[in-house]
Amino acid sequence: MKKFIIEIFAIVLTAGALVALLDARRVFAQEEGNNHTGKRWYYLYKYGKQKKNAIDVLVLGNSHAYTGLLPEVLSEQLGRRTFILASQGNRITDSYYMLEEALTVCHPKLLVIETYTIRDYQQRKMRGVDLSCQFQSFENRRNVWLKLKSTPVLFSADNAPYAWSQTLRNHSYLFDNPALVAYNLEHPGAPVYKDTDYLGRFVRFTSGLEEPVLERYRKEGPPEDGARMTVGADAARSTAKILRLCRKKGIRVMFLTIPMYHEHIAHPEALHANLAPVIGNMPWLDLQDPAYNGIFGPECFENTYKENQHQTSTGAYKTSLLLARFIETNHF
Amino acid sequence: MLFNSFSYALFLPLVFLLYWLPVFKSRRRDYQNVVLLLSSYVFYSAWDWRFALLIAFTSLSSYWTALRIDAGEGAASKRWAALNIAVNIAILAYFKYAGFFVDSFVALLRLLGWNGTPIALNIILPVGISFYTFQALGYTVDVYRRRIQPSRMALRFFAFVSFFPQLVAGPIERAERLLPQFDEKRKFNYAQAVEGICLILWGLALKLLLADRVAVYVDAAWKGVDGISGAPALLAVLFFAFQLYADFYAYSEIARGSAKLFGMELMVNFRRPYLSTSFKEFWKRWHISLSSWFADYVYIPLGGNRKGAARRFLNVFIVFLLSGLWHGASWTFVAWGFLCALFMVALDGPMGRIGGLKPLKTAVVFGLWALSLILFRAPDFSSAVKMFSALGFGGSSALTAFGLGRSELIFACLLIVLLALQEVLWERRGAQIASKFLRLPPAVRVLIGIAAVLLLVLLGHYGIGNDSRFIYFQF
Repeated sequence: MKKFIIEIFAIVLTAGALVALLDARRVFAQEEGNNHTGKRWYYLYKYGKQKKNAIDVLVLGNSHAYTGLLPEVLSEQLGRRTFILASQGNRITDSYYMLEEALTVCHPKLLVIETYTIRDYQQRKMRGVDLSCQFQSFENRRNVWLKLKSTPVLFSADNAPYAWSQTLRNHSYLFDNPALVAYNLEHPGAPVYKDTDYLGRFVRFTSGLEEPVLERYRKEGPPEDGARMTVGADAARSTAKILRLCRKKGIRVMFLTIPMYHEHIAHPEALHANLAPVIGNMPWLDLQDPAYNGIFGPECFENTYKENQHQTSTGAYKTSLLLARFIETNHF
Repeated sequence: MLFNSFSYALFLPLVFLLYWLPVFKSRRRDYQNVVLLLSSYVFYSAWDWRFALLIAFTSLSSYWTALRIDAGEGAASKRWAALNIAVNIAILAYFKYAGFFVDSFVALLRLLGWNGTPIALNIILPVGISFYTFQALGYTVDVYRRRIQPSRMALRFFAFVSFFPQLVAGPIERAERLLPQFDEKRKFNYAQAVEGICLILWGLALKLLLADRVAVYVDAAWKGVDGISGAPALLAVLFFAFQLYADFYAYSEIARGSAKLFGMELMVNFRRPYLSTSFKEFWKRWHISLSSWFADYVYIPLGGNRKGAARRFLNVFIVFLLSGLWHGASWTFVAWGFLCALFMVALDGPMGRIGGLKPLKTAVVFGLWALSLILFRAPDFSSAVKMFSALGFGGSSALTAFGLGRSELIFACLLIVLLALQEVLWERRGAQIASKFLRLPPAVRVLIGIAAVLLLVLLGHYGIGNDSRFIYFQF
């Protein structure tokens, strides 16, 4: 029996070590050209090494946060460094663990949570694009212990190995994308970021809504319905965990709803009502409120009728100014 | 919990360690059976906990009625046997065939001019219900025929019905063979465990390297059945024959391998069927546990080949029609069963009279089998007809339009050639190769094991979003 177990251990450990080696050398890493999540963690750690209180305002969120805010504008308006720690498709459960790791390297005074991460989802049952986004976010985190701790919460037993190993996840590159494997073999190791300063911004959209999409709004009505944008148990639990953690660490918290075009979303009041129980009496800047419709015109939004609409740089600029004013009047 | 999932990779070693823990030495056998029973229910509940209630009911009813059958004489015994068979068939009929019967009945009424809206039945098909129901049925019949004594230990019987390695897709074990193994105190056997690991790795290789890879092509081809024609259709048909074989053979080998880790032996379910030179031989090599179940419990009781040629043909058709229906609640499966019976009845005689030409006969058997599988794979008759009429040799430039790129397509074909070579080699020297492998120094075996795992990791077709279920789970 002992001999058998030793042999099996030898096989599993050696094979596991070889896979880990392939992972460490990033042989099956995906294209790194656009990995702004990795870049955010790189700079967060860099700032953290410079000074523990190098970041004053930390924004948590997903693509809505990094396309809908200009941290440079915020930093300038507030006179304090603002950093966006967001990853594409993030949910608030993941944001909690991102925050936990961020707090090991920095101690912000204010945490801003973008509310698009607070949705109805079942964290361990994610599939498709949502799961891929979750992998991407997880992969870029650096604290191994915190990653281990969060694994059972973020992933099912069947998905966890994929979260940890690019080799398991992307081994099909051998057939689908051998050129990338060859490139990775020639360029091992983590990517190098050359910016002198980076605060997490990633504005992708410059032109606003155009006539064909506006015409669809008129003809088909809004593609999103605030009444359907409910908050699930996982999201509510994770939001509460973030609030507890911040209370314990003495960090003030506020919520921010970055808007979509007012004709893009029906019943914004229902969305507000869905989020309200989770947010409670915390400060909340809800820019989806119809009172702001006049500020955010078609030029502020990505030209899409798809459900998930982001802001243009114009929209992000306006949102940043409004947020800065809100922070000034309510927090600092 | 699939055999090819990470959760099974955690579950199996955990159960293995618990099973062989050196505890309860005086009641070792019961301890091991408790571990197997609990782990089997955990395994089955991973799909849906309600399924566990169903299997518990099947086990309880078979256990209890077997005791009544044994205690009774003549007519009383027969009544209990009939009752249990009726209960088991009723459960199977409800969960697996209710929708089919209702749909067929509605279709018939529509033909007669009825235009109403039928009630929608949303019945979930419990995974593996056909397998464990047949196993329980076989037990009841064997007790009734006095071939075996009924089990008087509920724990052992429940563990026998729910034994997780073969629970959801067989092999459909005979009580005569498997049940006594639960009565024995099992001791760890190194050679048996090594053989078990080899079978698991072999099964995973068949599933991950071949079955799931060609499945991509087959699924894409059937999805685009309206537009497919020529060589791509032919390749889809050939690929499906190998997908089905590799997939089900893989499951059976992993099941056997897993059982060996617990000191248990399950029957061999496949014996290189694609080397058969007749259909009769094919069915002695393919899904052996089901073929022999139908032979023992349907064909022979119907008279087998003892009552003349006409009756034999009729019996063959009955068995294959039932076998078709067993595979799936659909008329396409019934038609597939009919075709299989037809091949056996019409072709085996003439082919047997021709001496020699073994490779040609093998090719004929395989070719016709692959064609018959169009009915097995088709969602409906019109799709099957489209696929049949699309077969040809032209349009090879479109081969890469069905989910697999050129290099992966070549790799899949290479794997099929390797599998064929392995089958021929194994047919001739299988036992010798296996015993030579077991005699290799442990270090060499470990190195081979590492290479095999890495091969699976790097070249296996798996990942998020892949449909990696075993085909026979749906039956």
